[in-house]
Amino acid sequence: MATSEEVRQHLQAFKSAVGDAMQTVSDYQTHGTQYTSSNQASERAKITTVRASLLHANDCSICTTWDGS
Amino acid sequence: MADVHNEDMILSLNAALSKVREALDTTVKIEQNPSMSVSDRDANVVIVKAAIANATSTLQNCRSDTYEGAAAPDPSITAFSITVPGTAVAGSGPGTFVATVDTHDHNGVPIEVGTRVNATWSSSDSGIVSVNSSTGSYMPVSQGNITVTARYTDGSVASAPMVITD
Repeated sequence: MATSEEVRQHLQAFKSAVGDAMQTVSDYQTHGTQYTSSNQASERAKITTVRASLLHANDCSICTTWDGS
Repeated sequence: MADVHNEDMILSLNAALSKVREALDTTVKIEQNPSMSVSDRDANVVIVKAAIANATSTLQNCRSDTYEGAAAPDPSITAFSITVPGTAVAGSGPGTFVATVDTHDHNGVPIEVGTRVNATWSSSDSGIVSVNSSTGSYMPVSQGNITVTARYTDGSVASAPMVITD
């Protein structure tokens, strides 16, 4: 069973990762045309892999086993 | 599969982030309130799990693998049409032809329908109906049949018949 503290930390990390991805898109939106092509590729890679890297498993062992205690 | 642009990713990530925040806030609320009733706590746990499921689903469907890293193209015009009265009486007061466009975004989702736009107008016989080419204001002058034509800035052309009676 996951504790409240574990769930909170887990969600904090998830939130931070989504926020980072959004910041990357926002930066790309603002400065994308100023990037070198290699920077463009690396920044875009951060987003094109966002689904795989941030996807929260439906059977997440932390969230799904938390009972609020 | 439709390309995903900056605006699409911001929307998806914002939606996911909003749900994760909700889950986190609810978790903290439970954590900080040990005297919460069991039923309230259980209800909040359900909220947390639902919020995370929602965030997961959003990320699952965000189509980030087709992210373009560029702003979305301008909306496309799906239809250019004009409104012309079928008949008018010669010598009656002036009127105005109306041109409209329908637009959709880069994913084919309609944005606007029937948005009034400026066009370049012409009458097939200005002796029957005279028309101001830039405003679409017209005057039925004499009896006869004409075709009204409008050209939009993207090259679209629309035309309609008009009958002028005495």
